[in-house]
Amino acid sequence: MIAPKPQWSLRLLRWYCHPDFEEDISGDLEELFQQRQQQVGQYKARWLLLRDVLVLCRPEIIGLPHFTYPTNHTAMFRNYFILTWRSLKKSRLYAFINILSLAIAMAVVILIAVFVSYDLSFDEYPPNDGHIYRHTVELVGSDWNSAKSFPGLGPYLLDHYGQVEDFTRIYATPETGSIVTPFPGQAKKFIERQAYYADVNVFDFFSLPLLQGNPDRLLNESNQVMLSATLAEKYFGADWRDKNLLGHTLQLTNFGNKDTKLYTLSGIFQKRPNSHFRPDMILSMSSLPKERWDALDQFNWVEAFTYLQLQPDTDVLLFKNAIDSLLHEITWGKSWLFDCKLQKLSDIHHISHYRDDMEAGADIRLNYFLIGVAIFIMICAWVNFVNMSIAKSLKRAKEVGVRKTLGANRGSIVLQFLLEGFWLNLLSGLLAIMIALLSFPLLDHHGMMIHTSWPLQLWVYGAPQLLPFVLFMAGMILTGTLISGMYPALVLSSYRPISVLRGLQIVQRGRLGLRHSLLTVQFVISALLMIGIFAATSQLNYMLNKDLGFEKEQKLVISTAVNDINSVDNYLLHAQNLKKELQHIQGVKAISTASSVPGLLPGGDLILCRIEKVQLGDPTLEDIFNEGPTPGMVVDAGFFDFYDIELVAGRGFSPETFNDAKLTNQHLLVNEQFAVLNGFDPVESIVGTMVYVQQNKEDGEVFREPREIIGVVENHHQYSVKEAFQPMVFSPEGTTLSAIHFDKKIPHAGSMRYFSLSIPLGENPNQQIKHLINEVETLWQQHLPELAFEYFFLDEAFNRQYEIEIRISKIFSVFGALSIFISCLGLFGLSSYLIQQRTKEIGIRKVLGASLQHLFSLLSTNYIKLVAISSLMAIPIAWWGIHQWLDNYAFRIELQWWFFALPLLALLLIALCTISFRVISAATANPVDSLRYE
Amino acid sequence: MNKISLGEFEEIVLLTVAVLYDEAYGVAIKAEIEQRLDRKVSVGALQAALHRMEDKGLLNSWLGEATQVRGGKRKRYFRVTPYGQSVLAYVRETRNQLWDAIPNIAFKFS
Repeated sequence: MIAPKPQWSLRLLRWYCHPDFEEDISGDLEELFQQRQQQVGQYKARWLLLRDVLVLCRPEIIGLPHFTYPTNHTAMFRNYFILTWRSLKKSRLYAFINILSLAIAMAVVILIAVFVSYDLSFDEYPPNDGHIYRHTVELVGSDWNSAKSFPGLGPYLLDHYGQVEDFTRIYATPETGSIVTPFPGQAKKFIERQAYYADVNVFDFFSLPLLQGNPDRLLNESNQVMLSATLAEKYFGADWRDKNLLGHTLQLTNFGNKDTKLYTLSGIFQKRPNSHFRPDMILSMSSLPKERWDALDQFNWVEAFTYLQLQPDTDVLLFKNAIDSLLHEITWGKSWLFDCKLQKLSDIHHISHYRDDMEAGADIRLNYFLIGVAIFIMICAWVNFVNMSIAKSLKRAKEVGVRKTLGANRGSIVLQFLLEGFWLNLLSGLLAIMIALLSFPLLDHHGMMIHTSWPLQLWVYGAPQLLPFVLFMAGMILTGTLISGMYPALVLSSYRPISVLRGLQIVQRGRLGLRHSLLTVQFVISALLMIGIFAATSQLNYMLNKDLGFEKEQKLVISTAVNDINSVDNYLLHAQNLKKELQHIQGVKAISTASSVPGLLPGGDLILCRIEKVQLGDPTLEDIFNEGPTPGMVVDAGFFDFYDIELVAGRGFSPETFNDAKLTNQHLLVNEQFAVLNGFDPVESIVGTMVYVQQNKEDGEVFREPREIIGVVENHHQYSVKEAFQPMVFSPEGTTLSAIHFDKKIPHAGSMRYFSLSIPLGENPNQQIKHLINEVETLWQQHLPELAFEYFFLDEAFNRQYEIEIRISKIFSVFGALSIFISCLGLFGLSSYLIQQRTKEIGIRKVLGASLQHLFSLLSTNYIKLVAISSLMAIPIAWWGIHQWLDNYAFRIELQWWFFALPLLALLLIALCTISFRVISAATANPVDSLRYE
Repeated sequence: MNKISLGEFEEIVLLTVAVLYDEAYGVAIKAEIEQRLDRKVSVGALQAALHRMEDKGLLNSWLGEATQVRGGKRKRYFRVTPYGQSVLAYVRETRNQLWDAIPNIAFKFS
């Protein structure tokens, strides 16, 4: 065996020895080593040196100041740990309940934290420095608004206002989508709806990580296209990274067949999940069709999402007012006023709910609500913990007495129980991480979370990060330890050794009160959530099932982009022919065409016009109806029957109306809301009123068309049930409501933009729809080969706007159920503990002849009372909260007494079931068993 | 002086330091004890005792000059303080008193 080298041994000494003594001791050792070398030889001397070094390793030499204490501490900590473990093992049920409820609650908190941090991280990443704003417009006096802005505004502001450092515009492709042929010449086609034209500098505003391509030459030439990694994989296979794709040619069709062009692939980027701008395809702005490109510096209409980089010291409010007055000056002849909004980039996700926005957006209140739920659930779990520890405290009292007798001071007992709390919290934290990991795919599936390689990370500055998550967990465990462990620690450490060791009963009254009030808090929370679940679900069902004023079931809608329609010669003629043939497809019950359809969101092109009352005698006197513009539709004769919108007063569009062109141009229908808003009561009185339909041209010229209001139809929900009814006007097919057509005196091609087919679905709907779409496609190709069409089912499209409500209701249900579960765990544990203490009492009562019912009521009345009191306390809070929430809805359920009674009754039942487990087993037990052991 | 407790080994080390006077450093003390008392002394026990007694104020120490032997490392010399001396005297005194108090008859064994 090789002997250890002297240098090695001395290095070991140097490592542990106090630096003050190191020099002389190692000197001594070297001297000894040299002596021994001569006496016993090199080999043995080396071993002896090592032995000396090892033997020298003592507290005095290491230089610890108070060498007796550290070892003692370690031993005590070890002892605390062992005792924790033993007491857990001794009362498995309580340990299980404690840890399970803590773990579930922590898992909920983790999931909510991840979700909220993700939701708040939208558009937070660089280069966003907090001074990027989006410009959106709102039409004064109406609820018409748009997330887009005038394409000419960005350049104009940059030239004339010092506050603007830079701007970028994003121009959406038609909602029919962009038709992509990845390999021109092949038949394989895709329709992409997330395709945008963008200015060259779009990457200065949105950092989309570039996977392939030269950053300097991305969108600077016309007919360049960039794809997201998702699309690249879809088109070129999973191994697209290995292929040299840059410079590849794709064929794209955006604005009708005339706009079919070849594009060069100039880059591939990664989409950011937490941005409102999630493009699949970005095209260079200069690839726009010529007439659109030419209009890019104009103020004709809102067409481009416009983002402005402002100077850091800009007063945003002042600047907004400046833009407002600018818009009043230069757009639309001053008669229609546009106001603007400047939305901070990182706020868009939460504050922007425009119908034509890039994403539906989210509700910031959902986050507050979730944080509230997380806190509630955590409190429930902590309450369990405290309750269980106090309940168990009698068992530990002797231990505390012995410790104190052996010289423990109060501080060390507090420390012991805090440490016990810490172990439990730590264990629960680890379990919680596992639960969260397991439930993550479920949430991911419901679209509530975004998938990352390791999901448990907090989103900071736009990116998921692990460190904040670790800190968050540590914080949660420590807070939990302090909150849940402090009270039991103080109670337990306060026991006087003499009384506990003599076996005196510790007065429990005060603590029972505390336990009961904690239970009450838990059940108030559960009751609140229960009522909340009930109300949210009811409102959701109400909205989903409310009579919309029109029939939305089994309606297939076929449409095409309005800009494309105008590019086709004689569109109306072709459309009429198409309509006739569509009617004859097997399975189509009825057909109707109109310029829009009821219940349609983005792209539901309502025509905005002004309605003026004609003043008899003095035609120059203007009397504008309905302050601000009124939305209108051009509809065919069958429209109202088709959608089951009933006539309330006057007459509808008769066939004669359509046959006589002169009559056609004179008639107008309004809805009830229009009549009511303009002060006609009863609504019939509006019939026969002569009005002008007024439109302004871009240069400010005003057009007026005289019309007679011949009837009133019932209201329908043009948008979501969340909003109030809109005043609306209906004009017969062949007429027009919009400005350009007034001018040219031609019928409005857009008046036949939407084909609605009523198709009663049979037994095999999928097959039927597929078949139908094939037929529609064939006919469409025959009549309107230049145009692309899209189709959707009206009820699906309409219900999509309730996503937020559906999500809230789901979240409510899951978390509410969890909190009730945790509360019941606590109730179960506590009641079974107390019943266990009363085993003997129950035995004696039984011997003396108590009946089962009697025992049952004896044991459970207390808890039922508690739950009832909690419920009563919850009612006013719940009433107030639900009122606040329901006020957001124009059409809402009315709160009834059973909105509170039913959920509370359910809660009471659940609580009763929880207790009765233990109560019944205790009450039916043989008294011999419980009394024997004495 | 009722708080003073001097272990047997400590007493020996303290006395040896006094014996060696100017030459009392680790190796020398160890060698002296081993030679005079014919018992093995481990470096660890010796050093621990020395430092413990220095903390108690029975000894003080200083570092000597560097020499070529011992890898150029300085020696730490120890010397008994007046307090150390009084403790030693006290110990000796108490032993003597005990000896003196032994009745003559106590050690008569046959």
